[in-house]
Amino acid sequence: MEKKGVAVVAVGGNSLIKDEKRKDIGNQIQAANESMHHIADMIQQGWDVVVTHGNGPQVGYLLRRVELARHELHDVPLDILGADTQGAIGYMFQQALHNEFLHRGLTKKAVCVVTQTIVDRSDPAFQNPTKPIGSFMAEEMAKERREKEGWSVVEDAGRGWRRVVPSPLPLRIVEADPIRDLIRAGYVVIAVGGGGIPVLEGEQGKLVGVEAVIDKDFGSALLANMIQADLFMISTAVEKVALNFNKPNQKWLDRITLAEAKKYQAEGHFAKGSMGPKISAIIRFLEKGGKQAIITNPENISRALKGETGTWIIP
Amino acid sequence: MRVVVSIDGDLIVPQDPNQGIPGQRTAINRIVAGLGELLRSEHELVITYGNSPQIGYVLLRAEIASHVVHSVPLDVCGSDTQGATGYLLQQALHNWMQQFLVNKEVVSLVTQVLVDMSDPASARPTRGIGPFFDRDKAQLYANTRNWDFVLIPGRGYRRAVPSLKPRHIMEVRSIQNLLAAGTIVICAGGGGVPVCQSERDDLVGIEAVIDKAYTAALLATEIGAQVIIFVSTWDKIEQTLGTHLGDGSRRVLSSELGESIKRARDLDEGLYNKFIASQQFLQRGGQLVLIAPPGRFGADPQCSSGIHIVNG
Repeated sequence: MEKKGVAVVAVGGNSLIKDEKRKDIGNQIQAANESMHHIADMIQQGWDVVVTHGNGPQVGYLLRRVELARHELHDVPLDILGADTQGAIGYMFQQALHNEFLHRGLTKKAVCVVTQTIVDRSDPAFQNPTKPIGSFMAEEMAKERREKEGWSVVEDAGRGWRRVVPSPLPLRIVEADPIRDLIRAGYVVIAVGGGGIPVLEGEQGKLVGVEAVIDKDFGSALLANMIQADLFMISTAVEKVALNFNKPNQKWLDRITLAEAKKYQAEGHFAKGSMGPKISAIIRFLEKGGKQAIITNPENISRALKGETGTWIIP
Repeated sequence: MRVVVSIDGDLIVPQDPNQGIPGQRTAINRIVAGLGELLRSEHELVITYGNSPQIGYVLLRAEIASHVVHSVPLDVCGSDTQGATGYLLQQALHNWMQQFLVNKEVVSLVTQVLVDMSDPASARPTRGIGPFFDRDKAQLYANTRNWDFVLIPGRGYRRAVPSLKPRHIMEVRSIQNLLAAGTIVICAGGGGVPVCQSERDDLVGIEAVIDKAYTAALLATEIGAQVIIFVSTWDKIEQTLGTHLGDGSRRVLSSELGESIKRARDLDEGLYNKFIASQQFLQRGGQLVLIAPPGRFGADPQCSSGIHIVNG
């Protein structure tokens, strides 16, 4: 098998939950199996892969359970919920990859590493929490939680009140070294789930969990830089990135430079809640020395790696 | 030397659930501080732990929210707690080592454990887990979810699942690679996520539990560890064995465990499993099992207080 290099592949929410009707565990496992089939294709092509993933909906389910059980059981902070989802999603991916390797006669092994990501207390996001999480609440309850638990809450366009938490930039992946060791030893590593568990670094380098969320693409880009990956791939819902997306003059992009990516980003071509942060993550990766990045959807991963599709972004 | 440290789940989760996650952090920090000399030593350390209380919480929340949010099968519950408890342990170990300038990495791995389905006796659903139900609810879930139940007098019906013996640690090679690189490895939480092989040899999760003592012994054997330390809830052990050991230590030959095993079988299943697992480990090349309270461990497990079980 020809060695292609190390790739960090960030898989999107659609790799676990196809749609609103198929979100139970049975369906999640099926979706995980499908997604990992495509990842196994690139591993078979010779790539050493770190798989990273989002966890937004899964954290949502856990929060809902915690809320409903609040009269009987203790609360669970966001860092722990993130860790929970890393375990569960990691397990599904790891098992799916094991079975893929078995069917293909590959001797590869997959392993999931619980991953902490250091964020900075002075990050402006902590002054301005924007990321909504958990269920909608009545105004009264929202204000009570603000008083008693220091939550930031906002009213969401007539739909009710919601808790918002900061989404700071990741500074360092605590487990980057063991992840690199495992990759070098030939393992497929699942890591940085949900962007990593957000932690602050205090005196003497002591870590403590913090109520925040980290963008999974930013966390993944950072890991890609820290382990000097040869490729950063974002697997999402679209085959390619477009200018003027969903407009009559829409134009698919095959290959763009870092400078072009920045220019298009500044011109507002990439939607804030979806393609925008992915492009930003790739910009950060390339600016810090990354060699190449690609955005495509799971079905086209193999073709994209052969240069047949996807949007490539290079320095 | 390779050492497997197995921590009782009850030691991680405070008796009073109101203490919540901060209570778990405090408990874990205390245990980690007790392991200090081992962390400082040259030994290659693997840390594993029980998860029964945490699984109880996950199942109770899932039950209360079951009208709104989908349920969670036991294998996924297990992996869930491996993430959360693994994280807490990993952070506590990291912090301790930062404070005392120990330069080692620590990671938690999600760990699947292949179970032994060949023993029909062990496939019987005997282990009660999760919340208690009244008769009607139990009947309903027996019909709709195909659950088995045990009746616990005075408390109600509880879901029952098989407690299976572990046969192989699926991630054993990566554990060994990390140990060889000097990394402390946290793994096989709750005895591991129980998996079995389908007809086409695929791994699939199953609704069962694995006793962590047997997993600790198997893990120790598979990675060629010399020592297992069971960090245990001590009062109960002293009660079961009818002795007061305090800070002292007692040396027992594996072959002389008969009477203790008999007592444990009736009074303390956890201890019983530890004894049997210890015998298995020692028979397969292990040198020492230490069953000990969560006090301070020395760099040399031979010199720590507790029950020392050796071959013979």
